[in-house]
Formats: sequence, structure tokens, C-alpha cells
Amino acid sequence: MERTTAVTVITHTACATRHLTKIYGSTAEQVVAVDDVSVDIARGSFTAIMGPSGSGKSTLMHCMAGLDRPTSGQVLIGDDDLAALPERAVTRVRRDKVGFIFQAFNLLPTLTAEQNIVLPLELAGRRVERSVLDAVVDSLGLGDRLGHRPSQLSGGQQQRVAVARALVTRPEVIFADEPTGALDQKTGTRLLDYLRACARDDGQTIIMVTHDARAAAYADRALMLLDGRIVGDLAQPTAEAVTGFLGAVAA
Amino acid sequence: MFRHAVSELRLHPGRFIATLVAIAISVGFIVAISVFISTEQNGTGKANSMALSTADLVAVAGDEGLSAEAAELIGTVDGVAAVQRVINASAEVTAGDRTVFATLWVNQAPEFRWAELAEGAYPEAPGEITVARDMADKLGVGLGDEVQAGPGQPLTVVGITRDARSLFTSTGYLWQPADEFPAAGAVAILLAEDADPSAVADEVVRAADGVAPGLTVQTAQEYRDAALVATTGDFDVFKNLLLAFAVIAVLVGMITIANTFTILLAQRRRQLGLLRAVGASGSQVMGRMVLESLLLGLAGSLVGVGLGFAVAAAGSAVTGSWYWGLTVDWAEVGLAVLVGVLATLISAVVPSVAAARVRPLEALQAVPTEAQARRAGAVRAVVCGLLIAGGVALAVLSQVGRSEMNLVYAAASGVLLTLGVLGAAPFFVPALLRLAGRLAGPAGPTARLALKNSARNPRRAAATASALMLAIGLIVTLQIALTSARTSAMDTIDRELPLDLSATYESGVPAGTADAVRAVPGVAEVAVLPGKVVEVDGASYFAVDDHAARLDMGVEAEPIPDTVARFDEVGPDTPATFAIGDVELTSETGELYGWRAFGVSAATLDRLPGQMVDAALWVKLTDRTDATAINRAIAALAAEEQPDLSNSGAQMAGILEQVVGVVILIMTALLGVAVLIAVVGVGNTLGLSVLERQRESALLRALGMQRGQLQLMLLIEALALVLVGALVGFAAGIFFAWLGLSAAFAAVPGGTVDLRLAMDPAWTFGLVGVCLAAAALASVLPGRRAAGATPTEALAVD
Ligand SMILES: Nc1ncnc2c1ncn2[C@@H]1O[C@H](COP(=O)(O)OP(=O)(O)OP(=O)(O)O)[C@@H](O)[C@H]1O
Ligand SMILES: [Mg+2]
Repeated sequence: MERTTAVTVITHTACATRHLTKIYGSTAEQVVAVDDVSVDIARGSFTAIMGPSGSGKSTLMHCMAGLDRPTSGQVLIGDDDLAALPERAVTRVRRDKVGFIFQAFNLLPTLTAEQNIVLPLELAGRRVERSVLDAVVDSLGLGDRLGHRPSQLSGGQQQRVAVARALVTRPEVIFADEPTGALDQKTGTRLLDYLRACARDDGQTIIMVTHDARAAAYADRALMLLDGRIVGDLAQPTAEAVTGFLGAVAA
Repeated sequence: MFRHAVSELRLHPGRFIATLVAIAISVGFIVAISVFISTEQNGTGKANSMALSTADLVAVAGDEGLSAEAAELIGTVDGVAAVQRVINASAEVTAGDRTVFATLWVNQAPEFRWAELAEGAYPEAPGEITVARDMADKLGVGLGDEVQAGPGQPLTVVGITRDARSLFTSTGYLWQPADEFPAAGAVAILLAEDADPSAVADEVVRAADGVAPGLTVQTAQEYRDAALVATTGDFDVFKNLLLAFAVIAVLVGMITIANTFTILLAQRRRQLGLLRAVGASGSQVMGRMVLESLLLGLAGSLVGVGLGFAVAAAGSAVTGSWYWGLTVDWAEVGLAVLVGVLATLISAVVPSVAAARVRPLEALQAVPTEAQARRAGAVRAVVCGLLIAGGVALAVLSQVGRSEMNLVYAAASGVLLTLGVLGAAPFFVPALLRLAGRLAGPAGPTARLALKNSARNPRRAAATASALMLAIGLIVTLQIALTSARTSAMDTIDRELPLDLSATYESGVPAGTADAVRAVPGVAEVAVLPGKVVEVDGASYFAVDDHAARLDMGVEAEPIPDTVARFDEVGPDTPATFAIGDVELTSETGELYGWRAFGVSAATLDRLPGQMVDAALWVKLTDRTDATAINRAIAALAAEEQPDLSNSGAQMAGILEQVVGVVILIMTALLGVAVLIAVVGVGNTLGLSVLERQRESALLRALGMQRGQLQLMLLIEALALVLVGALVGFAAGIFFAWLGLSAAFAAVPGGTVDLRLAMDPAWTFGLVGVCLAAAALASVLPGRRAAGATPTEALAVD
């Protein structure tokens, strides 16, 4: 029942691609990493991107997040076409409208947990809203760790700091590249629960690249990639459905 | 092994550039000094024996010198083709308001002339002069113009020669009647075609036995060699002084190199670990580091040799010694290369040994563990504490008492404090950077991040900053010490010799002279002193009353008592007491009254017999070091009648001012080399840490930091490091300058000079400004590299 309510809430598009293509290398030995992908990501959705290694998951995500330039096609975040904007403007879009969660946490070692969390706000010259910060920090259970440096935190705590950093700017969309890759199963599960709650309860759009069918089951949509093309789009995926699909494709 | 080392250097040349530059500059400095001084010495020696460059034999006179007759006698000896008495005089040659110091050669016979004529002819009559091209240029004269050489008639320029240029003196040629020069120091001899030099030499000694006792005869070559050796002593002192500066440059270079290798090792721990893992022994890994540093040292040193030769060539072109060709002492050049290689080796191997001792687990961490850091910190704190305590104790000791030991204490204190402060840099440099970070907090995240970054690796930041501290500390010490010594000396001159000129005339100051002098630009004050002409022991004197003039000029002195006559100086022929009419006076030493004049009180002057006249003029200049103003004022004073002049402090002050100015310039330039190396070190540290932080830069870019902000961050990091280094060096420089000067002044017997600390802001702040500018420049490349990080790198997992 929960799931149907969630679907009816989705009304707008948070980000989208139109004929997105990314080609690496010279003309001699080209690799078409992303091949003519057009997809709409609904606001408040939690989307998993899946596929075998080398299928172009990371490349697609980099292009959608404005980390990398597509070879052709459009990338829309809100009203901005990242493929057409100059570098400085793309950087600004990343700063203001996009959040990131990395597999390797990627915190700045010189800053405390709290300073790491508010860094994107500071870079944007925005005021830190104490209530938002407190809510995020409380929900992640980081309250007593704010003064610690990354080297004094466990991997799970570091990843929660990274999640808080992504959430605190209230971005249009959060991109996560294998966020559970460096975590043990229990910690990973808790993180996925949390991300699902963010999407469902706060309407936070999340796009997650993962290898793990069980992780994909937390999402409410799974895009299946093969050789840079979307070959499957499952709504409300389960671990079995995803594994079955991948097995069929690989065969 | 060798191939590995070469490929490491070839694969990552950028990482080693700073090391290369540091070595090249240090070695280049030493080579430049060696070649330049050898060339100067050779040039000076050759210039000194220039007069004999055309001779075959030289007869050097005994104590009494050689008369013209003796020379003629030598000329009649069998086998002697021609003789020339070597006569020269040093003189100031003036034309208009320009002056050149010159050596003037007298009565040269054509066969003994060494310089080609460019224009005109050699002199053939009294009143003619032929000058070297550079003198003509400096004086701005040409053929037919008049110049003045010493007192006497002006001389007409009749020729211009192509002579060797020299920085300090020039060359000219005169013709004077031989009897004006009764004794010459030497005679140059030309031999007949197939004469045997040694036989002729013996014959000359025999012939001259009666007329020139003590005559010795050498071949001209022997004489020139001896002249060259004679100059060596002077140049060695100079060379050693310069080498002291080179040592400082090498030290700073070593700090930079050691820092580079420490950072590189930290970055290459994995690579080295991999080498170990695939079976390389510890000593093989060490051997590779040694080989790398040897190659690097050699390459840098060779570049340095080229650099040194270029600088020496440029320098000798400026001084004119280039004319004689570059002289190279290859042993010294080889030694410089050896120093470069050894310095690199030592600075590279020390960190590698430290790295080799690290346990495997610790080797995986980029920063030392806390326990490790604390242990090292405690030892360091104790050692530095002891050094600083010792330094402070010696500093206190140098300030009590007044003996020559004060200077020794001060010097020892300086050494201990320098070591202590540099050693303690890892404690206070990060603290200062953090403080700067706190101050810069409101300036936004870029500045805050930058300062956090610069303090994140305390050892590295400290080593980088301390190279700069050392260099700037030394420069500021020397600058402030010299400027303060100058100011203190000028103060003393001002106090003790308050006037610039005083003039008395045979029969009173000619009318209009006072006003003429007043009109001279640069003259601040002219006072006319009333006085009377009186007779003392049959000689005529001026008795003057200077009370009003003293008030006018702000010259302080106790009023003269009614029974005292104050002389410039009470000499042996000045009567201790004397009477004029019914006035009894006692002589006393005063100042500034000039020849045949003395000061008395106004009441005494009234009682003396005779007419009141304008007895003397006192002149005070706006800027007493202004030589042109002095010369103009003297000319105005002498316009009507030649006065008797007392020239007090002005000239002395002028010379002091000039000398100190030149010395400060030279010292700054020499130590500037060390600063240059230190700034290269800053760029290097920055560049290497940017390599390390590539991923962080990518992350910041992913999080929305603009390229420019990232570059700005690097710039602030560089500025912070330099500023901390410069400020500490600056503070230390002021302290050491004070310490040294107060100890030195206390050691002066009588202690008449008051110490006044002074600074030439243009020099000192200019230096700091240049350092900051250089640091900004040094951050450009690392900044570009950091900004070039693509944001996707942050997501890559390695
Ligand atoms: N910088 C690059 N230059 C050239 N080729 C690249 C580059 N980055 C990725 N590729 C190629 O593009 C294709 C897609 O790579 P991508 O990293 O997107 O795959 P992925 O699905 O994320 O794989 P994995 O699951 O292993 O992370 C691969 O064939 C890869 O070799
Ligand atoms: Mg990937």
C-alpha cells in the first residue's frame, strides 16, 4: 500500500537526459560508454542504475551529475541543460543543485565532520540553517561526532557524514556511486534504509549506481544498462527480479 | 639499478625541478664567486703591471729611487735598446662638476706605450693630457676640452686611448719636465735584438752600482707574476667573505632539498614498499635513493657551473676585467661541483634513512602516528628549549658590562638562538598558520581551507618556512644592523660636528659672499660671525663671537666663559694662556673656528681692541650628505676670495652614507640568492602537496568549487607560508641586529655613540614584498595543476 501512495506523489521530473551519448577515445579506438540514452527521473524517486561491469553506469551518472561532458545529447537538471552551459555555470549547478555520495566517502581530512558537512554551503556562500543541519545530523545519529576529524571516524560514520553533506544543501538530486561498496552488510543496509526514507518521506530525488541486486531492491525503480544502452526499466524492483533480468541479459 | 634511477628522474622531472634549481643556484653562486674573483684578481694584477707589459726587463729601485741620470746610465749598457722611467701619480681629474679618479702616467716614450690611440695624439708638452676612452666618457670631454688634475693649470685633452676599463680608476697620460720627478720607483728596459736577458741584467746592476744603490733587475714576466701574487691577499679576504654568503645559500638549499626528498619519500612509500615486496633488499632501495640523488646533484651542479660562468662573465664585463679575459681556477670549480653533489646526497639520504627505519605499519600512514609525533616532539622541545635558554642567557650576558667579550657572547647567543628557533619551527609555524586561519575565518571557506592545508603537515610547513626564516632573518639582521650603525654614526656626527662648513678670510668676509652662499640650492642656513683681528704672539688671529650663530643654527655648546679662548684645536704652538691688551685668556679646545681663529664670549670681544668686522661664515646644509651642494657652497664661498675652510662632518657623513648604501645593496643581493632558493622551496612544497592532494582537489571541484577558487586557495597557502617565514625572520632580524649592535657599541671604549635602531623601509619591506610576489608566482603552476583536476577523479576508487 505504501508503494502506491509514493507513486501518486511523483508528478514532476527532477532530471532527465535526451539522446545522451558519451564516446571515449580517438576515432581509431572509440569506446561508446553511453549510447543514446533518454530517460526521465521523477522528483522524489529513488532510482537504481544497474548493469555488468563496463556497461557505462558510472559514465552515465557522471554526465547526468555534470561531472563530465557528454559527447552529444542533453542533460537536464531542473531547467538547466548541462550540456549547453559553460564550465563555470555547470560547477555552480553542481554546487547548488546536486549532492554526491561516493564509494570512498571522500571527506576532507583537514576538516571536522561538521565542517565537512557544511562545506558545500560555505562554497556557495549560503548561510547554514541550524534547524536543517540539526535535523540531518540527528536523523543520521552523528550528533556526538561533529567535532571529530575523518581519521577519527569509522567507515560507516564517515559515509554518514558524506550523506549529511549531500543532504544539507537540499539538492535537486543526489547521486550515489556504489555508496555501500566499502561498508559491511549491516551498515550498508542501514544506509539504504535511510536513503529510501529520504526519498519517500522528504521527496529527495536519489540516483544510485550499484552492483548489488539487494541494494537495488531498496529503490523504487531500476534502470538496466548494457553496453551503454538502457535495456530494462523495472518499477518496484525486487532482488530476484533484478538478478533474473541480469541473468537473462548476460546469457 | 642505474636504469631505474634514471627512469625515475625522467618519468617525473617535475618533482625534481626544485631540487635541481636549488642545487644549480647554490653551485652557480660558488662558481660565480670563484671565477669572478679570479678574473678580477688577474685583471687587477695585469692592470697594476700594465706599464711593464711592453718591457723585457724591469729594474726596481732601492729606497732612494732612480734619478733621470741613473736611467740614462742604464740606457748606455750593452744590449739595452731603450729605457723608460716608470712614473705615475694618482689624481682626481675634474671637468665641470664631474670627477674621476685616475692613474696618470708621465713621459712615456713611444716604444713603451701599451695603449692604442683612438683619436688625437700622446702628450708632448706640459699642459697636455691624453685620456682613456672611459675617462673621456665619464667626464664628458673630447679633444680640445679642458680638464683639471689636482691644483694648478688646466690641461687640454689632446688624445684618447683604448685602455682597459676598470671600475674604480681610469687612466691618463701627461708630459712633464723630467726634473719634476727626481726619483722613479722602477725603470722599464727594452732589450736589443739578440741580447741575453740575464747577462744584461747583471750588467745593469753593475753599471748602476754607484748611482742607484739597492737596484734589482727582474724579467718583466717575473715582475708581472709578482704583481699578480701581491694582489692575491686582498682578494682572498674578499673571496672568503663572499664564500660565507655562498655557504648560507648552500644551507638554505639543503633545507629545500631535504624537504623535497622527505615529501617525495612520503609519496613514494607505496612504490618503495612495492620494490621491497618484489624482493629488493633494504640496502638496494637505499642504494637507489643514493644513486638518484647523485645524478640529481651532478646535473644540478653542472647547470650551476654554466650559471656561475654566465654571472661571472656579466660581472667582469661591468667592472672592465673582461678586457683581460676570464680566469678560471678549475680546482675551485671542481670543488663547487663536489659541494653541490655532496649537499644533495646528504640532504637526500638523511630523510631516506629516517624512512627506512619506519616500521611497515607506520609506513602506510602519510602522517606520523600521534605517539610517534609526541615522542619526537618531546625530544625536540627539550633540545630547542636548552638552545634557546642558552641563547637568552648569553644575550643577557652580552648586555652587562663593557668589554670585548660582549661581542663574543652576542655572536654565540645568535648562533644558539638561530638553531633553537629553527629547530622549534614545527611547534610554532603550524600554530601561527592556525592563528592566521582563525583570523582569516571570516574571509570565507577558500582562505580557511588554504590555511588548514598549509598547517596540515607541520614538519613540512616548518621546514619550508624555516628556509625562508633563515634567509630573511640574515638579510634583515644585516640591513638593520648597517642602517642602525649608519644612523647612530650620523647622529654622533650631527651632535659633535654640527656644522657643515666654516670659512674665514684674510681680512674679513667679502661683501656679498654670505648672500651668494645663501642662494646656493641645498644650503639651509648661513650665519655671519662678528669678530676682531687681534695679535697673539706676533701672529694675527680672528677673535669671533659665535653665540648668536650657535643659537641660529641650533648648535648646542656651553657658552664660552669670559676668560676663555676656544680654538679649533689647541696645538703645540698655541699658547696656553695669553694676553691681548688688558684681556687675559686661557686656551681651550673647541670646534669649527678654522685656522687662526678662536671663539670668545660677546663681553670679551667687546673689550678686545680693534674694529668689529664680519670674521667668519658658518654654513649648514639641508642634506649634509649631498656632495654636489657641498661643492657648490665651497665654490660660492671662494667666489670673491680664497677662504680658509673648515669642512666638518659633511664629507665624512657623505662618504659613510655612500659606503653603507653600497654595502647594504651588495649584502642584500648576495643573501637574495638564499631567499630565491627558499622561495623555490615554497613552490616546491606546494607543487608536491598538490600532487598528493589531487583527489581532494577533484572532490572540491565536484562539490562545486570553481577553478579560480582552487587557484586562489593555493595562492593563499603560498602566501601564508611565506608570510609566517618572513615575519619570524623579520622579528629575529630586528632582535639580532639590536643584540649585535648594542654589544658592539658597548665594547667601544668610552662608549660615545648612542645606539639608534633604524630601518630603511624601502629595502626591508621591499624584500618582504618581493618574497610575497615570488610566492604568488610560485603558486601559479601548482594552482593550475590543482585546478586541472577533473571532478570525476574524486569518484575513482584506487
Ligand atoms: N576515461 C576513460 N577513457 C576511456 N574509456 C573509458 C573512460 N572511462 C570509462 N571508459 C570506458 O567506458 C566504458 C564504461 O565505463 P564505466 O566506468 O562507465 O563502466 P561501469 O558500468 O561504471 O563499470 P563498473 O561497474 O566496473 O564500475 C568502459 O568500457 C570503460 O572502459
Ligand atoms: Mg563504475
